[in-house]
Amino acid sequence: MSITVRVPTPLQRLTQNQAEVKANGANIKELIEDLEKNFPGIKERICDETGEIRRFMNIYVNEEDVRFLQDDTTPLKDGDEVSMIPAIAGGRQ
Amino acid sequence: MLYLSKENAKELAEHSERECPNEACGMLAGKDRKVEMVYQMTNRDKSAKTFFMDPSEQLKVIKEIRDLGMKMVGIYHSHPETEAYPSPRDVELAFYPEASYVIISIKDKANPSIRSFRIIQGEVSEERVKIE
Repeated sequence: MSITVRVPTPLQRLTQNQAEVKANGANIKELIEDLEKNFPGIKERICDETGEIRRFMNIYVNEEDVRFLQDDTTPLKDGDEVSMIPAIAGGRQ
Repeated sequence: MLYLSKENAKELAEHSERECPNEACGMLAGKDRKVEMVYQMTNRDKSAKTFFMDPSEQLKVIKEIRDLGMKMVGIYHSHPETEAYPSPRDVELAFYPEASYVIISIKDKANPSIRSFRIIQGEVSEERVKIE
C-alpha cells in the first residue's frame, strides 16, 4: 500500500526537503506513525502531546478535510493522496 | 516591499468593514511580491478577536492560485479595534515564512491602515506597502 503525502514547507526540513513523500497506513493515525518512523520529529509537529491532530494543522484526504470525515481514524486506501496544510489563523486570544 | 493596487487596497478595507465587528481574513495571490488577486475567505471563528480561515476554502484557493501560475504572496486579516500590528498569537500561528502578513486596522474607520510584515521563526519585520 502506498499513500502520497504532501508535506508543507515548514515540515520539509524533516523530510530532507521533499514536498511529497510515500507512506503507509490503514488510517491517518497509522500514517502519521509510519511518517514518524522515516522522518523522526514529524509527529510532534502534526499532533499535540495527547496524540490528537493539532487544531492548526489541516489534513485532507483526496481534498476532503478529515474533520468532516473521521479525524485520525479516517481510513486510507492504496493511491490516496493526503495533504497536510498549516491553518491560516491568528487573533488576540 | 509589497505592491498593491488601489483597487486591491480598497477591497481589503471594504472586506474588513463588512465583517466588522468580526475579523476578516483572506489570501493575496500574485507574482514577485505584486498582488494581482484578492481572495476573501471565511473566518470560521466568526469572532472579533480571532480568525481561522475555512480549511476547505483554503485548499481550494491554494490549488487555484497554483493552477493560475501564481503564488500566495500574502495572507491578510483585519484588526477591528487595534493597531495594524501582529499580536503574539498572530506571530505564534504564522506558519508561512514565504508570505507577507498584511493587517488592516479599521480602528479609525475613516482612515483604514494597511501594514505588511514578514514573520520568520517568530521574528517580525515590517515591510513597505506600495499602493499604486
